[in-house]
Amino acid sequence: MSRWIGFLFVILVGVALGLLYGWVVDPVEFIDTTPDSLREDYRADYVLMVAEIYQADRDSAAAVTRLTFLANEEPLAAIQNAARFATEVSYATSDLAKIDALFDAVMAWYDNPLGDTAP
Amino acid sequence: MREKRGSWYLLTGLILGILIGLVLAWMLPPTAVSNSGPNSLRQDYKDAYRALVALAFDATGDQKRANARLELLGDEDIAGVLAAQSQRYLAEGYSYTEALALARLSAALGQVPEPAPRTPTSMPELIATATPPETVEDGLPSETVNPDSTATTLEEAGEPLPTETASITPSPTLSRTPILTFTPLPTLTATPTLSPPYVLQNQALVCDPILQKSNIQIVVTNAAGEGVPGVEVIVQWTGGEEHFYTGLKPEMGLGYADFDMTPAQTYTLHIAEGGEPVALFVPECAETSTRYWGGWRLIFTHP
Repeated sequence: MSRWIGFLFVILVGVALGLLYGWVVDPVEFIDTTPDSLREDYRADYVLMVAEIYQADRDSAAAVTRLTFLANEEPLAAIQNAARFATEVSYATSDLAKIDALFDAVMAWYDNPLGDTAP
Repeated sequence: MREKRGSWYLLTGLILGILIGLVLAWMLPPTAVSNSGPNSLRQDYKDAYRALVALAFDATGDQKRANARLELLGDEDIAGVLAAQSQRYLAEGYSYTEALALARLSAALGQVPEPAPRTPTSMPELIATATPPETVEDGLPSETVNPDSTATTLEEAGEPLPTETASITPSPTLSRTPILTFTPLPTLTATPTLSPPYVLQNQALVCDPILQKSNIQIVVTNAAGEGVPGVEVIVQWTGGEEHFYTGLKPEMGLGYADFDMTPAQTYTLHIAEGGEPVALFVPECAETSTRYWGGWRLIFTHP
């Protein structure tokens, strides 16, 4: 009986070692992922890129389209999350300002998506 | 009598356990992938990411930042991949702005893309802007290729230089009598002509209280203004995507298609063949004291 207990015990130890190796030492690298799986810092940088482009072209509709790339959150939520992360990790003030400006522009776009031609 | 056995069963159990652990860690698919990097993105998403980096570089001129972002994608030849994507975008009718931005970034990173096999309207501008910035800024080429450099190096190395032995007198050549042979005529191979992508001609708000649902009405026409059936339209939203075709409701017109929207959701719509995407959401209409959800009518046409 004690042999069986010992046998099961070393199996469990082996499973733990296998999982440690497979998850920590040499984890699986996923390929063909979608943007919603991007880590928070990459998402924040993505939003910053959109903000940088918006600062140059002032095209808020295009900015919204670009933000929908981040599939799992609405554009405004994506900007808010990016702004929060950017503040936490102390992005440059100029970058924070760009993200703020993007937020205002997207808010304005939702109010008036056709610009001046809206009824 | 008791059989005396060693401790091999412990080693067997350990190896078995490790194998089970590795299978669990490596083989079983996760419920959801998270915290991944841009290098693991699917190829089409990588293209979109790369195009955005290029546009951001166009906007800021910050090459160091652009380079750092591109390195996240894990491409071995960054400039080459950018140039290739630029060419592909032009050929497949993607956004010209993005193609140009990709070409500019590629040039800035050191590789001038080959001239694009495109319509004459888009060629000159791309080539003109694909010049490396060094030559534009100071008016001088950054690196001048010295055609004598090889000879100088050989001379300095003490190796004998090849002497010119070519004579000016043409050597006699053998003349051949032409023999009549049957040569099959080349068959004409049809080369597909790239059609320009559909462009958004008009976007209008649809406020009709009789309509019980909020939808996007799409009308796709050709250059003559006639409806085009069978055009694939793609709508994407948070966590979803749908493909549909024009012409499935012929009573509304051959080039007509529609898509029902849900409030508080942002959608991106584009024609599958190419062209700029359009961002949309459910608009709110107001008439005197009544408020209701409206829709959109988009007319795409060939330029």
